[in-house]
Amino acid sequence: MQFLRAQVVGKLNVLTLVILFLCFSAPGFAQEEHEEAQIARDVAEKTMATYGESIFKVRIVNIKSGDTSAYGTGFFVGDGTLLATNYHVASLVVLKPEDYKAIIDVDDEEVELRIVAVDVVHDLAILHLDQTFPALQLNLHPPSKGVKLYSIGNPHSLGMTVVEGNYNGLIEHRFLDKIHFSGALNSGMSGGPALNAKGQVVGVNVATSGNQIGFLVPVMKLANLLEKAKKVIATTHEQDGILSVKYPGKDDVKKDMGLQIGAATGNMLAQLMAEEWTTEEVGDAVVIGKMHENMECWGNSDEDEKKHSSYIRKGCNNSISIFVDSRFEVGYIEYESWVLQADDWPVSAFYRRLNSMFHDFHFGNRATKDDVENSKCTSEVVNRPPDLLKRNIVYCARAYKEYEGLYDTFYVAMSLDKDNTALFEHFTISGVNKTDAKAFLQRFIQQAGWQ
Amino acid sequence: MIIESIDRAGHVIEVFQHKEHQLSVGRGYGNDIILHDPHIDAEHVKIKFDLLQACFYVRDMSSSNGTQVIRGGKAELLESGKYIKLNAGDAIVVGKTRLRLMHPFVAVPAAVPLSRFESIYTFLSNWVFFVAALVVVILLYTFDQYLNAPYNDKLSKELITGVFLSFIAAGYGFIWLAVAKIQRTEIHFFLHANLALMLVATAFLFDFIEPVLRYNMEWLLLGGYLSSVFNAGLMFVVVAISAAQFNRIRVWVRYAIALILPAIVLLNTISDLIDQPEFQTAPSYLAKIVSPPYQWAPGISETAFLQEADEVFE
Repeated sequence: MQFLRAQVVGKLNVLTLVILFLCFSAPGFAQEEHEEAQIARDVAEKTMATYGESIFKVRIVNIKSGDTSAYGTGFFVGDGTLLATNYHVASLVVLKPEDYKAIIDVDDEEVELRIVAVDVVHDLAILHLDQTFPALQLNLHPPSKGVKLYSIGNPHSLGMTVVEGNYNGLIEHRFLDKIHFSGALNSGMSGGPALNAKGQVVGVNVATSGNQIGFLVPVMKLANLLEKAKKVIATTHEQDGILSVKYPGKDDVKKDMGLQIGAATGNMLAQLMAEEWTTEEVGDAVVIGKMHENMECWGNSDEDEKKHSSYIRKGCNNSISIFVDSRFEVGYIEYESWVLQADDWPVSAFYRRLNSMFHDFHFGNRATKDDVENSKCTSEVVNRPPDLLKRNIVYCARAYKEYEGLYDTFYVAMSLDKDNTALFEHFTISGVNKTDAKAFLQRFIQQAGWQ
Repeated sequence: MIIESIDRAGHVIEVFQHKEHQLSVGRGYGNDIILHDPHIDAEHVKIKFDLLQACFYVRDMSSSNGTQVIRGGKAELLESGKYIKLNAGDAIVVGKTRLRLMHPFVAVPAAVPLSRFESIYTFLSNWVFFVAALVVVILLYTFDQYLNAPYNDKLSKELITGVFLSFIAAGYGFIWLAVAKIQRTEIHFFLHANLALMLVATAFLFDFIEPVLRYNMEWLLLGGYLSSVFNAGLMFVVVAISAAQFNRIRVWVRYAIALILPAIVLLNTISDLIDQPEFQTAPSYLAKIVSPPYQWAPGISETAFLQEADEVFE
């Protein structure tokens, strides 16, 4: 799944959209289909005129160079002064407001917007300006599967575009809700609305997997954030004798983001911890199975006859990567187990190979020196009496620099008690607090063993 | 009368003994001391020895390039045609040759005692030992490669790399051979080549032992730098033994030479320590992994580990 990036163009060109929709409806359909298409076209044409003035290209401009650094789409909601878009579109303004500003072009004039609320977990942001625009209505009732939706955005700087597709419900077995939209979302459409035939917002464009597989943030998440944003803009302060909105500072927003990330990871871990964890027999070992139906699991194996060795590998992850910035992703949970066997190898050679493999493991999420401290690790030989399992366990944590109390944790262990069979275990949890991390570790290390 | 031919450092190259108290020096065959230095005249200088005063008189025979006396490290040209008084121990320069005038009863320094390791040096200066050490090194290298990949059918090719090590050992021997040539000293080529082979063999053995130490005595690893320190120490010992074979090299110079290679190894390690990257994407940790027969240190319980895990959050 990749995030969408919007492109350059101002207001929606209604005429273009009408022509686009006319092109979509080809002659020769059955009468019934023709009528349905006609109704859809009529609805679209009718609503275009309204929401055309509600949807804008959002440009993120570098203040020093004056040039655009990122762009996406946004649309007005609420009282018409609040613009919704994706967090990943506005992230530069959130994280570095001293270097970047968010701009929309209104009648060939640049108008700056200010950040008022962010939902980093669901990739939403709401910005504010002092002018009022026609706001789109939110439809909080999920449509039925198969209903036609019209996603609007600005793909590849080609101008504001309507993409027709279907609502396919929420993606199954995911910790974070996302709508599966079967339409051709493209880079540049990020933050644009997905509307139903009545012109009401059902979701927000957020990502694509290509081949007509798109993803939308459910409108309920936007509604929640909108309530928060309304409270923020109701907070005013007097500056130079003028009453104006008291926008949250960078540190306030980041603190809020830290809490959101911690809560999201904590919630996922709580769901994992609430389950009965199953174990599976793999070779001579017993390894942890699927902890939760929302975890996506995989496995592979190989038997190298030439090298007289074999392995079986299994792993699961939560398929979630919360975008904080282009080089920092959090909320990722993964774990895996390997069972290696090399019966004909001299024991020393087998352990030498294990030694070299032991350093092949890394944190599963991306982070840079600006985001996290260097990791601190502990490495110990750990016994589970009476002679059940002997392992070298390494446990590391790297603290987040900007989000206090959050860590990435890393675990790798290798069994030490068999001559020609070894069990590797590994997990990464990113964006977790100490208490949740320790509870998970305590339970995890008790799972694996020998048959 | 004793005349020593010496080099610039004052080391004796050749000793001329003359029973008469007067002699002539030159390139011509009629001289008492005949020198094959093209910058010396056929009849260059005459030297007289006064036994009573224990001093020398030197007369330049109007030579083309003159005769110089070295005083306080500086050469001064002697007046031609006159006997000039010089003391025992003074050196003159004729052409490009240095001659030191010595009293026949001059006391020579006490004999330098043979090293107590002389018998070991003799044992190591043997080509049979070289062949044996080479076989050991090749076997160790091949065994090392075997442990890395037991079912590598190209293992025999690794033997070639083992043979290559013999060239390195021989190269080390040749370096000292060259030094010996400059120093006009006789050395045993095989002693130095064998020392190099022993260094390689010991380094291999340490590599085999290192995981055992890491598992059982983590504190001994000096934070993972024991290997560098060990190799540096090994290099120092080997080069110091090689340098000790050269009596003419002053002791501090020998140790300084022995310190060069270890210093390079350690400086590299120290610079790695100082210039550690500000941020490491991959977690940095110690692997305590060795085959079961070598696991002597006791482990800790899972409960104790959980308590220890607290520290990584600090």
